[in-house]
Amino acid sequence: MNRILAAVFAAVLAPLGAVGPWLALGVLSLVTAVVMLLVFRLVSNQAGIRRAKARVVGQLLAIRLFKDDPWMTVRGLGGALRENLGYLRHALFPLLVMMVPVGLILVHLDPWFARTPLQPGAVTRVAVVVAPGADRSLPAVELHPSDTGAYRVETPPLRIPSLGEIDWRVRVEGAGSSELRFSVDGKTFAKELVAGTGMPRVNAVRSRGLLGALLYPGEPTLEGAPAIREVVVDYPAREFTVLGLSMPWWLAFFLLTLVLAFLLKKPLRVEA
Amino acid sequence: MRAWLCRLGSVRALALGVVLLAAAGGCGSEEPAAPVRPRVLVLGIDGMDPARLHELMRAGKLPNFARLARDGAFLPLGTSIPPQSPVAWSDFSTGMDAGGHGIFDFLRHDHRTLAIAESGAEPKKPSRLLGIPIGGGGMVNLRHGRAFWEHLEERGIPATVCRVPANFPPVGRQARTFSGLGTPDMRGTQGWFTYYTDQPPTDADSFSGGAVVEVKVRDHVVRTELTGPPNLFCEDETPVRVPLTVFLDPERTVARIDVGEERVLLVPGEWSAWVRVAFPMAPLYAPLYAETGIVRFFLKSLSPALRLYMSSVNVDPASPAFPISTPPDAIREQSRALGLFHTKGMPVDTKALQWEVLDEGEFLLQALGVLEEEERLLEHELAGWRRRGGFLFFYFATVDQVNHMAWSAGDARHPAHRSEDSPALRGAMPLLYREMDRILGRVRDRLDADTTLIVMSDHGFAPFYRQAHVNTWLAREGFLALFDPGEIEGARLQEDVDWLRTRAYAIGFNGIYLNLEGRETMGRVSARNRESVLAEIERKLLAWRDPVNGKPVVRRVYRPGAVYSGPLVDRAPDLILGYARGYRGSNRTALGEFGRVEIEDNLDRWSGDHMMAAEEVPGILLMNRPVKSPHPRLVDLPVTILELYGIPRPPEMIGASLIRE
Repeated sequence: MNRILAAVFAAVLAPLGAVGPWLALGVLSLVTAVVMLLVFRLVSNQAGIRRAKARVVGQLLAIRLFKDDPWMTVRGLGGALRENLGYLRHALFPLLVMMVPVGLILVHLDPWFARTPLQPGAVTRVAVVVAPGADRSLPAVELHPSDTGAYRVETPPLRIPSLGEIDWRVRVEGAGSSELRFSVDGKTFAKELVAGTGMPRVNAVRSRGLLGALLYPGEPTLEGAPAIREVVVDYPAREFTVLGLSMPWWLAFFLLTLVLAFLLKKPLRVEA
Repeated sequence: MRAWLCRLGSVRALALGVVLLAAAGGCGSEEPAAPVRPRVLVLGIDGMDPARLHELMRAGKLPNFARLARDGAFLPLGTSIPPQSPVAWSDFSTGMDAGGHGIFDFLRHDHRTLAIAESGAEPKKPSRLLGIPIGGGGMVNLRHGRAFWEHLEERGIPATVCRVPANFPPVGRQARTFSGLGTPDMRGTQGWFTYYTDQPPTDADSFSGGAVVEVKVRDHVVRTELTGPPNLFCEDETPVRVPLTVFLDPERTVARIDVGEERVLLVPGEWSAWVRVAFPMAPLYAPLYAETGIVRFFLKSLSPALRLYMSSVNVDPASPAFPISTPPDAIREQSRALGLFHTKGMPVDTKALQWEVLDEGEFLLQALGVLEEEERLLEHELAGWRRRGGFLFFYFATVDQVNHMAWSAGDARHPAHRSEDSPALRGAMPLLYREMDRILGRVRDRLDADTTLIVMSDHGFAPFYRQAHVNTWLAREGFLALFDPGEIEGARLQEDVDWLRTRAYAIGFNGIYLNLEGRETMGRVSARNRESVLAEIERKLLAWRDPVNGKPVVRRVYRPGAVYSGPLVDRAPDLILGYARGYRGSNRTALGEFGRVEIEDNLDRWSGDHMMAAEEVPGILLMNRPVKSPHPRLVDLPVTILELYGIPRPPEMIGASLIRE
């Protein structure tokens, strides 16, 4: 399921990435807003929401009409609060239902929007994190030089027993996707390294297990090296700036989706 | 159907809005249709000395300087009085002398309290509501008068002025300007390194311009702090501190420095790239408001001791905490194109060499790194200038700063000369001159025939063999009295001077002031006696001989009324000292302190200088067209630049055009 979704997102985002991250995010926000509104309409009690909103309006009108009567005003406020809670109750189930697809969307969009690829010539930290149950004295992990000259390992391994981690500094030599190749106890494993420009999928972590597959769907889970929990590559964060204010991609995505959903709910006849 | 079409229409409008919003991130700035002519390019090389330049040109080491001199002109350039960089560059910027622009020294002081401050800018405290800053804070540029680029922008001529000293905070509206010398670091200093070590040097307490932080290595981990800017949310402006962790490999071959989100791996002997550090300031929710700075690390060693150098916290060019460019976004635009780079006015860490936190080779490597950044910035600005046309000024700081520190390495007569100095530092100055020649060659190759190219420096250089404690001399000559003359070493004007018996004192690098009635708190020299006291001091200064070799200490004594013009002459020192070659006022004198004797050897690493008589240290002027004046001066350059654009000399400028007979 996860692999299928990853392939779908790749098929959509690979060409969309060519138009730039803002436009890509805008289009995805639009699609997400439409889909989420339709899902909301499908799974929510539209008549109940409409009634709850009408009751809230009714209570507000009562406050307005009887503004000279303190008792009626207080009653109106209490009523408005009660009806609001009723409204929220109607909205709760569809929101819970939507959390699943939204969570999946976020996980799958993250590799495309959260980070930029490394520039040729840039240095980065590559970290191998030892599995929690493994011997914390740290196994002798080796990061092999690139066969293709895609990267250069610039430091000896830095072993950090307190973090269960082994780090290297790697300099990227050319653009494109390549593999960092490791070995430990006679077993080998690899991690994708992405360099260049544009908006390719940039997977920062390759992990293992079900959770690893769920959270880091861009690369297959680690197999065959049980001592290793995950491999991490530091990539520069991609920032989205609106009117001089920088924000992470997910915040920009949420804001855009919310605004679009608000604007589209009437044309799509969604009571929300 | 109609309703659906209406809805479709609004959906389309919405989609268009999304597209416009998404495209908003990529909007560029407007460029003129054709480059504005003439093009004028000025390269300002702080501290480039005409004698050394001439010597290296004659030796065939500087072919591009030689070609420029052959094609146009090469002359010594008359510098400012006194020849201090803030004064000289203010002369250049405004076309006025210090009597007009009001910058008389690196330092200024309050005549009442004798409190000392930097001359170029003054911090203003923000107004507060319930302790929270609500505005009004910042820095004020104390240089008076209009800069020549303000005249250019007034006439719509595109002008870019990169890092000209004494321009902080930068002035200009349309002109793109970037502040240079005088731009502080995030702590508000002109330089403050930090040296993390588990084996601190014994003299760590005496360090100035930096601090030693003693750390403990536990389980191959060091947990310490990085001190950043003052927190404006605290009324006492306590510095913001952020955690800094160093992980050491058990075999001590490599280390990782963690600060904020950054992870930097270094092996001993390596410099890091610039590292961005966020300093959270908001009191309740730290991420709400943070200022960012940038630092570089140098890992000197991991074994037997951990020795980690960290540079000053420079202002982040991508997100400056205070204005360092006009328009404010110009520095961000530079950073978007070039990444991170130094922004502090004095980028080379001379203090770290002075205290031997960096050795000669490490210091030189840092200086060459600064020059590399300067060259990248120049390349970037040249590309924009070629599109826009108009005026471009670019400033290089490296030659000056290295010259200060490298002089004794190449001068066996210098008291601070050490035979064990690295050959790298001995050859540092020729190397930097050759580097500047290479850069000049690259620039010239891309200029068209119509472009006017000016290469200039604000002053030259001379050895700083002997330091004069002028307050000690004034005391010996009877112009100044101490409560306890037996305790003269380390005495301070503010605390140890009997002002009722004092007629004159020295403060700043070249100034002597009278203890004047009505100006100083306990003034003892009346306006009637002023001239006679000045004459007496002047006569004795010119007769002052070095007891060791009998040479004169002072070559010229300048009277402000004779050498300055403009409305601010009365703010000048009462006498300006023009030291003879090899002599300079001591740092103690500048800070209003006393030495044990009047003159002593300068044993500092800071061994070359220029704060002497202006005649001793002229700057350079090279131009790719004839220079009509045989004795050009700094103040002539802005007049000349304006004339190249057909702008008549503004009345406040005192210079003359160098391209007109």
